Amino acid sequence: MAQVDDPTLVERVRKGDTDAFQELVSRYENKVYRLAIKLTRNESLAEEVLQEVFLRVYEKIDSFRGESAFSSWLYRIAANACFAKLNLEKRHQHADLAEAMPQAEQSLHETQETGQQAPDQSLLSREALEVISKAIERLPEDFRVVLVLRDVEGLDNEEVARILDLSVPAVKSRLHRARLLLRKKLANYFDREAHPV
Amino acid sequence: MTSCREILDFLSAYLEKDLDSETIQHVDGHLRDCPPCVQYVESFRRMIVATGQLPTIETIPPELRERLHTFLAQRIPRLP
Repeated sequence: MAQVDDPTLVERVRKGDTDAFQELVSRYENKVYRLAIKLTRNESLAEEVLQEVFLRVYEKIDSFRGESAFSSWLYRIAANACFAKLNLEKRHQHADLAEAMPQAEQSLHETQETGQQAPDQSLLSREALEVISKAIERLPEDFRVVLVLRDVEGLDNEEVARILDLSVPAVKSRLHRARLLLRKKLANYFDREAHPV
Repeated sequence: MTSCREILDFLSAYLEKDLDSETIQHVDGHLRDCPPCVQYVESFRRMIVATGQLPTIETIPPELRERLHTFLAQRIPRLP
């Protein structure tokens, strides 16, 4: 079913086509798991989220009205399931947005004072990706979810806004602060890359 | 004159070309005279690019996929 688009698969699932449902699972299990791992930071919870999300998708498929992409609806279910697991109320959770700016500015001043060089090679090695992955896990939840959806999963601002029920400016603002804080957390890695000896 | 702190404010928008032309000129002007900011901007850009590559190292383990299928098959009739 590699050539069948999501809306067609959804219609087939509505009619009881379990092969179509299995195709949707295959298509999105990695994405849902990645999101769950990144948000819960716990493999056991992430597996529970994975199972619950797809069971909910099957049971609630008739409630998907197709006004947004299926993936947006799926991500919203997954994000909500993660937050429920973490016992968060995302609408009332306030990230310490003021924290990111002073830390980022300090990082910039450190660059100016030490004259450290940015890494010559691009961050493409598995080690580098692991370092970034761990750093993302240490971000506050509100920052982490936006950064994961935008930069890791590659969704655009509008889609992230729909999934998280935020305005686009709020997504942009939160993403930027998440990136600044992530860059701060990766300062040691950049410094090590610049001075390997 | 654009300060280093202001560069931080605009960084994501600058890299995503989501700024008006006047602000872009201010940022470009600052970067012409501030090597530390140039380095920081470049490292910031590469961090974003590298973050986009994370999906290549985090995929569902086969045993987890098997447990998912078993879980769903127990609850969804006729699931293959």
